[in-house]
Amino acid sequence: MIKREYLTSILLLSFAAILQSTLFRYITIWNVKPDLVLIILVFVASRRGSMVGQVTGFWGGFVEDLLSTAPLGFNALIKTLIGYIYGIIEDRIVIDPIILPVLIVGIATIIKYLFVAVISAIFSIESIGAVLVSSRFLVEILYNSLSAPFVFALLSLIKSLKPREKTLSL
Amino acid sequence: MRKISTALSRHKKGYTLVLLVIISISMILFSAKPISFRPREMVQSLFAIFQRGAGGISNWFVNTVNSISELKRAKLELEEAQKKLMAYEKISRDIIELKNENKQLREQLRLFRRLSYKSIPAEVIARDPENLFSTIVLNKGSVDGVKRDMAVIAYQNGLQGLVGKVVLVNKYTSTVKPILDSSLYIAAMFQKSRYTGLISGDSEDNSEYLIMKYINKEAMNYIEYGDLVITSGLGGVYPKGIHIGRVRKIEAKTYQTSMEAYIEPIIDFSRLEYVFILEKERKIND
Repeated sequence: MIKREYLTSILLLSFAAILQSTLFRYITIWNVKPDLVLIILVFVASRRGSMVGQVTGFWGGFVEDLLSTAPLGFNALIKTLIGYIYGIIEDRIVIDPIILPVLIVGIATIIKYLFVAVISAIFSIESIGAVLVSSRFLVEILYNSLSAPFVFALLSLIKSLKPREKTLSL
Repeated sequence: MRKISTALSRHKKGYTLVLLVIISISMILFSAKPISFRPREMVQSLFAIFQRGAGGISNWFVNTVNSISELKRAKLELEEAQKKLMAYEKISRDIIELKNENKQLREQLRLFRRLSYKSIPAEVIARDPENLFSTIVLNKGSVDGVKRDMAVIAYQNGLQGLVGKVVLVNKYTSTVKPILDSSLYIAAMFQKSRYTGLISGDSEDNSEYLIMKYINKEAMNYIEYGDLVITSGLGGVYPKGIHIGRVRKIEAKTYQTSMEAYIEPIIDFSRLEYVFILEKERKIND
């Protein structure tokens, strides 16, 4: 039986990947679109922990790989690792509506590009090797960060993605 | 046995992470070289349904928004119609608009007829979900006669420009790698001076320019800002004579035997909607 949190996150990330490949062409800034999959993943992982983060991150990245000419597993690996890392911060920070979403999504975008650089270097994926020195990198950080508070506000309405309740054992 | 199950449940997160990483890496290793991997095509075909659906929704959305604005305009026109003087002005404006539209459509038709190769018209329905890749998904696939390595062109501002080439074909959709991609190489030449070179996307920056490399240094005296660059036909993928772009910058380093030119593509990829997939066969003239 798949838990509701997994199912919700998987559906959300699949929908986000399809949106990114279709409707998002209308909202590009200098040909850069926001990475909605990443923003949702950061939200899910930071609220539901590493296990949910890495599994749904793997799925989100895998769907992106299927819709793109990226080597299969490329985005899956990056999003799995980001999901795991952001799951670690569950319970460690209290996420306010504006500043922290901007900050953690901005950092997640930087981490994503670092992984991109490392993985494309290891597997010799030529076409994206030098992406870290491009202006696309900076635009995406800004775009993702500024979109984060709005996406977080919408996602916080979903019941199954609310932070886990902890019980005190005496 | 109990020890193993205790260890598994204690480090569940870690084991899952390792498993997912291994799966991802295996997938990269198996799919890094051949892009047309059959299971991917099968699943992609499945997702193409959603992409087409989303494309349809987007068109519906745009049409609805247009319809609303048209309704508003109609209301305004009705009000204006009450003021008779303004109504006459509106009619004359409509006539001018129709004339312009008619002119544009005639031009498109004329350009299409001028094309010497058989072609398959297609519509852009999706793009790569990630900013890292720049592929384009078209609504025509193998059932429409699309094959791998077919060249794709488009018309913009009355000019025919190279878009890229088909790299993946599914039953109902096909994926195009645009000329902006740094892993795509095109044999090109300057239309005026006929000097040749190799064009690829600029991977070092997000610039919209292409780089033309391996140009003979002698060409320096014969190339000017704004010169047209066309396909040379070498390699057999792109037919000869398709416009690629215009020269915007030339760089010749003393320690290099050849020089480089920066080319601005004819096609504005951000507003690309309709394209033509070129078949290898030439059109039989009427």
